[in-house]
Amino acid sequence: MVYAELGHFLIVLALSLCLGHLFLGSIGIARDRAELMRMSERLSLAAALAILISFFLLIAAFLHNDFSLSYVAAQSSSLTPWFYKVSASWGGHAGSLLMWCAILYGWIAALIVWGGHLPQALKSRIIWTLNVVAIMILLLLIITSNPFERTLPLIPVDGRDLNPLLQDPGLIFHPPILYMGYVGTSVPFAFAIAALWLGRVDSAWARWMRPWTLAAWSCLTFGIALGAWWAYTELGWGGWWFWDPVENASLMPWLAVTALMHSLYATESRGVFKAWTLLLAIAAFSLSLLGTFLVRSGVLTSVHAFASDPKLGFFILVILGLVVGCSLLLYTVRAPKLKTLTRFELISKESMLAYNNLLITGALLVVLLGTLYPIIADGFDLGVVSVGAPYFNALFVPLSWLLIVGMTAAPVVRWKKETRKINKPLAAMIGISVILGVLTSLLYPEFNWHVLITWVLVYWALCFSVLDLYLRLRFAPSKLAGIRRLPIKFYSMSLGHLGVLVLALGVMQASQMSVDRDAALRVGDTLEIGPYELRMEKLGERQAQNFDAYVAQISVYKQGSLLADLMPEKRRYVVDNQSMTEAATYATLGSDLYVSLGEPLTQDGEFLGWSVRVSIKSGVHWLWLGSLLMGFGGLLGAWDKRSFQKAKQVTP
Amino acid sequence: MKSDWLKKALWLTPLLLFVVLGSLLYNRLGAETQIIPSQLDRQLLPDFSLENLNKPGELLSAEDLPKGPFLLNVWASWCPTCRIEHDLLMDLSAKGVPIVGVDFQDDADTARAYLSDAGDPYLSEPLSDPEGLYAVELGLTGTPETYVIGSDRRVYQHIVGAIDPIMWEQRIKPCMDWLGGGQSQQSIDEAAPKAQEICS
Repeated sequence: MVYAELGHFLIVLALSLCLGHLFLGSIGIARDRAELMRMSERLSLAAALAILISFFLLIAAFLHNDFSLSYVAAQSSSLTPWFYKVSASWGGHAGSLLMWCAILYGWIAALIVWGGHLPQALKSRIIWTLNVVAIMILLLLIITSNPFERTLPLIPVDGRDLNPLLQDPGLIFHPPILYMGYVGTSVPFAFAIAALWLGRVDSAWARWMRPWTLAAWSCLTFGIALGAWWAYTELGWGGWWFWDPVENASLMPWLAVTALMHSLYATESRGVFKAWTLLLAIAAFSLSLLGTFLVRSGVLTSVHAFASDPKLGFFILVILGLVVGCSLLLYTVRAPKLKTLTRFELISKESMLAYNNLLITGALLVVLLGTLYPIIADGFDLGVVSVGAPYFNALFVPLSWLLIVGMTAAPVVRWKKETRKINKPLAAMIGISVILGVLTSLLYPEFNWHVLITWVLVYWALCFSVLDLYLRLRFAPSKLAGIRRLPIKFYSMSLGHLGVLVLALGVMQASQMSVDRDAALRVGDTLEIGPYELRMEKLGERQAQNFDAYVAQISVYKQGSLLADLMPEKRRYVVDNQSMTEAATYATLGSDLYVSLGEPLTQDGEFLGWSVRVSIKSGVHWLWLGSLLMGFGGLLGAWDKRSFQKAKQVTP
Repeated sequence: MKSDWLKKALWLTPLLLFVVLGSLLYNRLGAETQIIPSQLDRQLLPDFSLENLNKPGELLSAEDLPKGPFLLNVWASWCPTCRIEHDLLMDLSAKGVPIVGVDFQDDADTARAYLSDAGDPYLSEPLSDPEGLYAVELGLTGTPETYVIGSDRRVYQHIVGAIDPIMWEQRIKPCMDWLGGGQSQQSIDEAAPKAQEICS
């Protein structure tokens, strides 16, 4: 079929359109000619269309089982179900890079379409910056990793199938959404470059940049949460975060954007932290690129690294060096000239936001150093070691606690200078949260410091949220009218902060309160764990399109009444003969009952039963719920109409 | 004047940090990330007293290790990468390569089931390290990891992650062959440069 050639052609076409944009746009910007700038935007839209069609052609090649494409043959087989064929198109390096491009063009197109309120000079510089990034990625795609490469004349009869680990509903959505976040950080980055270029950072600029920052942040949040969910359901032992380099690669931009949102808020409202905001915007995108480099270059050993190649690594490093190096050079030259004239006191919203940024940056450095430690140690001959989960937990957890201390207190504090008497209410808050925290931790079977601290902090944060709401509604004629008049920003912030609290509780529960049991079960055997009684009812087999599976039916009883039938599976994928565990869970509000099926056990020739791992995974839904709240909080904030309006005509 | 300099230096910091990071990354490109200098490089294998996986209660120690060079493979039934490596281990074991297995932070029943299902490549009885304490002494970074041990009980090579046939042919086998060639008569200091050349 010709669509592979057409797809390849469209990529090259997109590159030439981009170069056209670079030419026209540069002249337009240099001479300040609005019609040239607008014309170059149209070239970008055409390039976006070309890349999008090319991406769909790749998906079509997968659906048609075109194994003459070496990428398709490596990622899919005729037995793969159609939805995994679709997701297989971004399951490997070349396809995921094409998706990276398609998403970048999605963001560029969105900016062109919805950016009518931006001054042309700013808008053109933003799109110019994104276009330069796009050119580099397109070159990378064409030179090193063309997904449309044919394996002529020897066409394989069938493909090798998608790695069974990746055949999970979570993995259909995880990469596109995470990439929307990764690539989305390029938009605030481009805003920062444009601002440095124009030499102007003002409140309107910050307001226009906010929705893009929040949208990228929400995508990152959803994407990371989906990844954790995938690890939890698919990897078979109930973990959800491993501090693996690839996970850290997604966490670092997330932390940077989290800091950026808060610093941007201060810049928008008070005109402070301008240079810092710009640096964070550059850092966020740089960390996204660094993540891409770490995952694909093979410089770190990771369980997730799916395509590593030092030659490719070199190309990405060149791109990283050019993009980040030039941006930071521009920053070094231009940022010192940005003047901030306002001052603020030690106890003020500004200093609370600075405290927040300090902590998040600290957490970011912890993750960055931990992830890069093998590389740093290698460079300075410290011996090659990698640091593991204990290091990250020991530093990251206390930092998150400190963050929660200030998180909901900051919104209550006034800008510039806190003039109200705060000692008494503060003492009351501490008293209430400590008492409630101690009482709640007494409900737990044993005393645990993590539980106590987390609950005290959660109550503390909730107290401040209530206070915040009270202060905002104090003068409203009626509470309902007052609530309706609260700005979207307030809801967005509250949802996000509430999400953090739910997430913190989830992490605490999942890491401290989970119970595991392993047992050998034959049909008819029972097992008790916590309040539940489990009974192996039967063991069957089933065949699906590309795997055979053993399926156990395990009934869950609580105080004699049947709650659920769980069907954990042990799958053997036909094409590559890998076996996979598909766990089954029974969910309640507070915990998951998690059952995964192991291997048949024999001892001295006698069959003992199937090994079954049963766990009560406490608090895992809270992880997902917390992430959802945070993500939707961000989207709600991005919705704010004011961010899509022209700057008011203010006399300077 | 001096504070002016300081200010300039401060603005330059992000760029400088990035240059350092970039050169570190460049330095690392294409570097071997799987065979790493062990913290035990040419040190004696730490003493141990670990339970026999197949006979709970029976303790094994360094006395029970093979006399010649051998591979020490740390594995676990819960580790997907170990499964990928397992077929190669079975091949090597069939070819007569002595492999000693250490089952890391595992449930003994599941681990036995795993071996009876996938085959047992391990020469002596597999050792069990349920708490992962011996692994700490080995400087383990994850599973699977494989150590090449000489007949002098010293660690010559430390491989992170699954070994594959190419790595076996090109890197591990030469090291083991050299170790099998009676180098242990030499003093460690004499053998050191050679060991460095062949094994790391």
